[in-house]
Amino acid sequence: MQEFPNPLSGSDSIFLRLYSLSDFYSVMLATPLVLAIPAILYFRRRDITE
Amino acid sequence: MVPPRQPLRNALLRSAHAEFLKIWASRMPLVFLLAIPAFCYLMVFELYHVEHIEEHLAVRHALHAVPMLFFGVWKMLLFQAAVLAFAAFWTTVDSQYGMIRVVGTQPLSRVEHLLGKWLGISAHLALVTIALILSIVGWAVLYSGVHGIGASDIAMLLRFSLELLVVTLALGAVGLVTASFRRTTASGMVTAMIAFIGLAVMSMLPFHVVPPRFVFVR
Repeated sequence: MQEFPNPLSGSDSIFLRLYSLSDFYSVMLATPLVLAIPAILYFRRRDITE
Repeated sequence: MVPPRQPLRNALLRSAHAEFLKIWASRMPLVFLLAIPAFCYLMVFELYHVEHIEEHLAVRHALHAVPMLFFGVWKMLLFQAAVLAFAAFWTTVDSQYGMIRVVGTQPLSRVEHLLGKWLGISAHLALVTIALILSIVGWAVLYSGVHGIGASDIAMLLRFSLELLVVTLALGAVGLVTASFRRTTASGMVTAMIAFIGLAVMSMLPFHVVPPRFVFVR
């Protein structure tokens, strides 16, 4: 994880934050989304009568 | 007579709610919720009774122990594997046993059904993540006490908890989305695991190809 900061002081963190919060949230949001779009397109047309 | 279609938001919520209740009725989430404190105790026992951390490190209160406990629990990878398996299983189980055809008769589009299923599974993943956080903090409080914990410590814990919730939901989402390409529970779980391994392998790519800050499994 490498992320355990103290938001009020920012200097006494046990772990060091290597990347920004925006990087963190964008990667966490974008990765599943990139995979979800083809999954939805596939599921709309797949055969469910097996 | 064909029942009237509901607005997307209502249909999604009802689908997610039904999925959540179906999964809860299986008792599998209950087993997860009961197993998580015991699972966390493995690391508690290791740190407090085997390694005696309080003799070697300045653990003044519970929140000084939480990062070490969490680090140990997270690095075992069992929680992440359980999240992926749970997500992949519940995504594919309808398909494997043909129940997906029953859902197909409901006044619900396939996209609404799929999104509702994903939301229902994600709600359970949020619950088990909260159980994980509460277990780690609970054990730490029991062993190291709460004396000296300040507002900044609690703010730090809340922010960390939010980020852990986001990470677990994203990991679960990777599992359930990739399993949606498959039709049996076994193939769904294998696909979800392979997707996770693939995301981990991305961290080995040269930095000029994919900067590490854009890699899911850092």
